[in-house]
Amino acid sequence: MIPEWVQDILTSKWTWAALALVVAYVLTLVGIVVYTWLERRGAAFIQRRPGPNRRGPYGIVQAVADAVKLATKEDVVPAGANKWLHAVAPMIGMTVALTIIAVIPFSGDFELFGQTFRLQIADMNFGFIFILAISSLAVYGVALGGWSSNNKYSLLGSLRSGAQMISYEISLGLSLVGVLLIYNTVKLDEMVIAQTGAIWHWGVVQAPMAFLIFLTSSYAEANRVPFDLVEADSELVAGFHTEYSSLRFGLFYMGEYVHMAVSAILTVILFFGGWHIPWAEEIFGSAPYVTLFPWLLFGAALVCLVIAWDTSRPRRRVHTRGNLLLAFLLVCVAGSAAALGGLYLAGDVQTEIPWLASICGMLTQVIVLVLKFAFFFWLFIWVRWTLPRFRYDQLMKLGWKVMLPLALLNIGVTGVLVLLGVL
Amino acid sequence: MWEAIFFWGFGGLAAALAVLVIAMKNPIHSAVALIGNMFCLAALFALLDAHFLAAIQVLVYAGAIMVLFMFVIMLLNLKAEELGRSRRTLAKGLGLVLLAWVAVRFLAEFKGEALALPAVTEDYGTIESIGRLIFGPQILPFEVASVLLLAAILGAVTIAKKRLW
Repeated sequence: MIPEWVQDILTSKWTWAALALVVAYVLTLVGIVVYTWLERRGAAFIQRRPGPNRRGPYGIVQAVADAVKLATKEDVVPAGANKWLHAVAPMIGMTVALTIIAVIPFSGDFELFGQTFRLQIADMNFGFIFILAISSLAVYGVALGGWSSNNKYSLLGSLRSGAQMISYEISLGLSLVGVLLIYNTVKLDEMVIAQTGAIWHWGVVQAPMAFLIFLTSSYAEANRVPFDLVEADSELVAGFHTEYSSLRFGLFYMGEYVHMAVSAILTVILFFGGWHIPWAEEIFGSAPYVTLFPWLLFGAALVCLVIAWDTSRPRRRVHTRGNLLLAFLLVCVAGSAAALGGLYLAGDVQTEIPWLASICGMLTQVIVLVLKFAFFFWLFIWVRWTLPRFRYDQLMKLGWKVMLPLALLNIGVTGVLVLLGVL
Repeated sequence: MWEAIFFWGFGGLAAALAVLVIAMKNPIHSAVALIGNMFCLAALFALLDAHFLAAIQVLVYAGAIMVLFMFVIMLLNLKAEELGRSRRTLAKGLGLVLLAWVAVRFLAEFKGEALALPAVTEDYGTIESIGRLIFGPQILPFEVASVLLLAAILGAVTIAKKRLW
């Protein structure tokens, strides 16, 4: 039914690695547009103001305008700066954040023409240590950026960041040891598989303390509020990126968002069941995600209709014609999604076209993962606009006197519980 | 074929960066070159199927030790004039002579053949096999190393802290 060469392409390991690469980069690079929009609108929502709402529907085109503004600004290198390191530093943060994506599994195993695949770029047998190793390099971007700018505020910011990232990296790593004891594996995909089934198989239920330590440390690692002392604007102007402008600043900015995205997706994979829906196997049978796919389409159609209804409402001073066009397009998308879902349900896809069914199941898993990821990404924004900043000595005290002993205690208690066979 | 390309690429880069570590005048540049060198060594470990060791090499050397090096250098913040001019000294000349001797000896011994290494087993370089090795036959050196590190930590605390309690 399908030509040989198409089967060859579909069953090639490289195709799926490349596809995973594309999925990952779309989630992050193009996602940055959505992240900045979400951050600005989220801030506005929490502060009870409209936020950017003029350009495009819900102001989403504003993020593109931001990017254009950044790219067309003058690229200033301060006098006395170390030119070479000044140029390299922004790249380090971004490279590190993007490299971690290589080990993240975006879907479970799925079968295609008798071969098994998974949306994961590199299936390493030490995925978790790879993450620790690569993320420990992120500090160089901040440290070198601050040092090479030849500015006291920058240097102070980067020194703070170095101390902060080293301190919290320890509790981050130790909290992961507790998780590792429970799942009895260091491979991220096996960790997700260990969380199949009931909701109490999820890492957050099995290791709540590890989850709290991991979440806090990952906020500190990403230099986000309440741990953004690196760029505390009331004390340090803008910290390590004071002397950066144009796209070099843009790289730091994007690096921060990619770092947040990676942290959010790791939280989902380690503690919130990855692509799993709790009790999916019990309720929907042996291949739950294949069965769920049409319902996902119906849900997407419903969401599209709700957005269409909202955009088509008349508003003052908003692009009404553009919104109407968008509403029309959304209704079309909703209609076709619902039609596809109906077709999927009507024709017995699972037995008739097994390869399509397994791809649909894979897509469902990716979407479940992305939905969970979206919540944790939103949590970053939520926390940023809700909590005040720590003082520096409080930060260090929290890191060394609270988080580190708690993480060590967590390992001990988890180890005893695992030995006793409770977990 | 790919393995050879990666080996010569990373090996050459590691050697070049190692030279830069001592050739660079600015200590920060030397530190950056050393970090790059650690990274290339990790890549060489990975090529030898010692993946866990490669990750640990990056995590410990590039990610932890070199960060501290870098911070010390940044805090000292040496100006260009304080670094001094490069001089021709006897030590440098002697070093060059020794290097030439090593190169001659190496070229004399080097036959261009690969050493016959034992075949890599299924679990070679995995966390499980390294763990079995460390906590099995190699337990004594491992514990001695940890005692050594503990002694170093205690020494650092004693020097840094004026009032111990």
